[in-house]
Amino acid sequence: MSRKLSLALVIVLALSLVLSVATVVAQDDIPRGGTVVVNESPQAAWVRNFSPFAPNPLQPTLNLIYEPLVLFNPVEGGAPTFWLATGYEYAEDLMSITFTLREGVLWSDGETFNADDVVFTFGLLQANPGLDRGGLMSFVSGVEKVDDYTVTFTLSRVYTQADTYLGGMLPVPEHIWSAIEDPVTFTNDNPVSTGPFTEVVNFSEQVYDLCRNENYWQEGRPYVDCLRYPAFTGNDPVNLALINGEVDWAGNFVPDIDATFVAADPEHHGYDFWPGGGSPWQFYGNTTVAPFDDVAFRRAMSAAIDYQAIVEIAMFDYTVPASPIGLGSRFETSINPDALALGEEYGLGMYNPEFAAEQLDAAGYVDADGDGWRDLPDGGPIEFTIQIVNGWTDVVTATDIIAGNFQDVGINASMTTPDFGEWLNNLQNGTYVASLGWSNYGRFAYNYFRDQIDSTLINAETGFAGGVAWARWSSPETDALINAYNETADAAEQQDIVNQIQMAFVENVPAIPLFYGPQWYEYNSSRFVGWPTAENRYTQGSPWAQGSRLIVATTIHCVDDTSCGQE
Amino acid sequence: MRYLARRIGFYAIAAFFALTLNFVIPRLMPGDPAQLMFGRLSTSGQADPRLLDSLREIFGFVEGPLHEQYFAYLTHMLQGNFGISVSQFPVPVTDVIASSLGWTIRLIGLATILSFIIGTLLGTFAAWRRGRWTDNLVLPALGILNSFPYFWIAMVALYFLAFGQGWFPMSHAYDLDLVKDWGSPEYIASVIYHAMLPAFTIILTSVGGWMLGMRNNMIGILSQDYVVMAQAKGLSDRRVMLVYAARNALLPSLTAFGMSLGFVIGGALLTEYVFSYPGIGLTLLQAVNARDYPLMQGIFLMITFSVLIANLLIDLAYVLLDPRVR
Repeated sequence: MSRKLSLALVIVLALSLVLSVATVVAQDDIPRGGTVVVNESPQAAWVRNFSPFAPNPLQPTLNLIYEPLVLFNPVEGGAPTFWLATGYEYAEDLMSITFTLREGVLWSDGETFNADDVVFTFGLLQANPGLDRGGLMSFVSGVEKVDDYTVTFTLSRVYTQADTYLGGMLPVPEHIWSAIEDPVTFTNDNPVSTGPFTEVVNFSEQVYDLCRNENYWQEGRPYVDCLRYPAFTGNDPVNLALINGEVDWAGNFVPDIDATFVAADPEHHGYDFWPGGGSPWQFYGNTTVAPFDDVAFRRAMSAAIDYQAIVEIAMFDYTVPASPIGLGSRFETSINPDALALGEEYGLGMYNPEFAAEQLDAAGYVDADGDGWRDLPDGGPIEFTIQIVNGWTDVVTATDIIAGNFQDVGINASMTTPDFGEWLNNLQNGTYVASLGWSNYGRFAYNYFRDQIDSTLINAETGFAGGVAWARWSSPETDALINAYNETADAAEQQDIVNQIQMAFVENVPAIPLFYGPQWYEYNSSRFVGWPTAENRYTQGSPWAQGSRLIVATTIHCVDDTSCGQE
Repeated sequence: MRYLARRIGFYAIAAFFALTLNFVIPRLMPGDPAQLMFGRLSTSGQADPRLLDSLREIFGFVEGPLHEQYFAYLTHMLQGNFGISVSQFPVPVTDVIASSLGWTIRLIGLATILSFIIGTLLGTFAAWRRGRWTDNLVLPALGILNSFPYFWIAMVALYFLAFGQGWFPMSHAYDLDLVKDWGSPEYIASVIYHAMLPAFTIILTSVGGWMLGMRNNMIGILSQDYVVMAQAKGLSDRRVMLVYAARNALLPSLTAFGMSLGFVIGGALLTEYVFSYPGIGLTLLQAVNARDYPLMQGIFLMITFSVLIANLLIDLAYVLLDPRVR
């Protein structure tokens, strides 16, 4: 060979060697290893319960150990993040939906994940209604394996929410669970699953480590070795540990966070409560009893509440007041400007006690008997308590403020703080007059409204109110809209329906949105980085948020090769 | 011997009543855990009403004649089968209790015993040297500490000594990096180190009570003739104080000690909360909040039996200490 040619060959070879090394280095420059200390919900002592079917398993069981077919990242506005499935499609007649499963996924023991596992899991839910917490059986009638990586679910009715709930299903391995006698009482001490962290190490009553799945389907991930869950008994011990830098990932209420947590290490201690991103805390008046059965009264009270004071005093300015249609920045694109304008016209959601007093006068709520408090138009007295859960200090303060606001406009309202069980019982059985409570956001803006005003949520026999339909308001018109929404898969049609629902919501004020619930989330970036932050909110960061912890856990990594205790 | 047989018989009957009450009381309360569990799950708006019936069945709240349920309950209890916890379903109650009972008994039991011993000794000295500094300074100081709310003392100690100075660990029963291994000296050292601050706060707030009680008993005893007689006979001060006076003054305190030993299991809720100690007091509170009847029943039973057994042991101690009883 000529010299020039051989020289050129050498150069080409050298270049390609350098390039390949460069790409290998570029792929591999994320530091690996380390144990992330995570704060779970408060618990006295851990008990070993990793069953995805239990009503109350250890938190990482759902969407960290076991994975769903589809994730719905809350910052994506409802767009699916395909996880164990790679796609889904409704049939033309909307009576069935077909999921295509991801190939190359292994269970943590090396077996292949495929359609048999999905079919088997569905069979378990069908055979044991007590395990069906997602209520799948109310709209799915059967499942069929089309081939190793395709399943088709047949629906019992047209229900275009089916993809959301079927997507959230957590498949379990058939080769393990088919041998279990009673899946209902199986505690699943050593879970076999597809998730990034499946190996339970060092389980004791005060701490357990969840270590990485060597067979995880996402190449190279997770970047960290283990997640460590110490048992903390409540907010106070966690906050001390957070400030001391002993916890890396938490989802806790921290009072005055800038002065306490951030000030302890301003470079690394951060948080993101996503103001406007969480579903609103609301004031619920029982619309089946006086005085909340009168929409004029509800409208007037909406103007009597000092929303800014609640946000500043009770919520430490962690959030912002809610608009009267209850949709925050997360569902900006779904907001109906006409509904907002109508709300302004009615004076909803804006603190104006004089206007509230005027409206009450006009509606006939005057002080008939001269005792200093307004009475019902028929002369009967108005006196009620606003209930809130004992111990939830931030919303207890908010309730206190509201009771004061009501008294300022002449309504005899006071606060009561039962324990959680009693509070929830009152709400669900309608044995209350006024209460504060949360509301639900779901994949779409529609879910926020449906969970409050769908009349099917109220059991016709027992009067039990599921969802957050605690105000017990509904109308044939909104029910028809809800049914129409579930029968169309067209996004434009659905938006039109939601617009109409918003108008009805503003007209009738079934509940008064107060402030968007802060999504408690703190992180410590001195050892691990890659956290979602306010500047880079790639998902919602709370460790208790089922919809997003998988994304966070597979993104975070050690800050360098030595700081995380790697060997 | 007859005395002992009578006492044991008494305790057996008390135990039977405790078992029966343990069965009756939860069933008198309104609401049930299936309803609460269903309530929580249905706030997501997706739960099917049939889920409530399924939950009821799973949790074992089936209808049936009450006396049949009662006999089934008795046989289960005597076999040690406490059923399946509702709030931690499907973990059995015995597993939930076992994971934290040991820590409570070790920490709180030890702290109570130490507090009793220290308080009694201090009370003895205070009475013997009444009017001096033990009596005038230490006793009022400890008495004041006794009346401080425990929660406050614990949080102040945690904040200043553990969080502020870093002299003690802030939480948990042993270092999180260690594996539970009672054979390892490193582990045992860690357990002791982590128990120091909680035990210290418990002792600090309870020793005053023991001291006061013992001192008052002693002062009564010290005016007795036989004490003067013993001193006149030339016995050493220490021997008179401890072997004669204190031994008799101890008897009333012992009864109280028996009671407090019995309540070790359920009574240290605040310690466990503040120091994140994995104990059973907080487990009980969580069980009550979740209306977890099987778990509550299991823990109540343990508390009742431990009170009865502690009292039985104290009765035996009485027999040894007080010849008038034999």
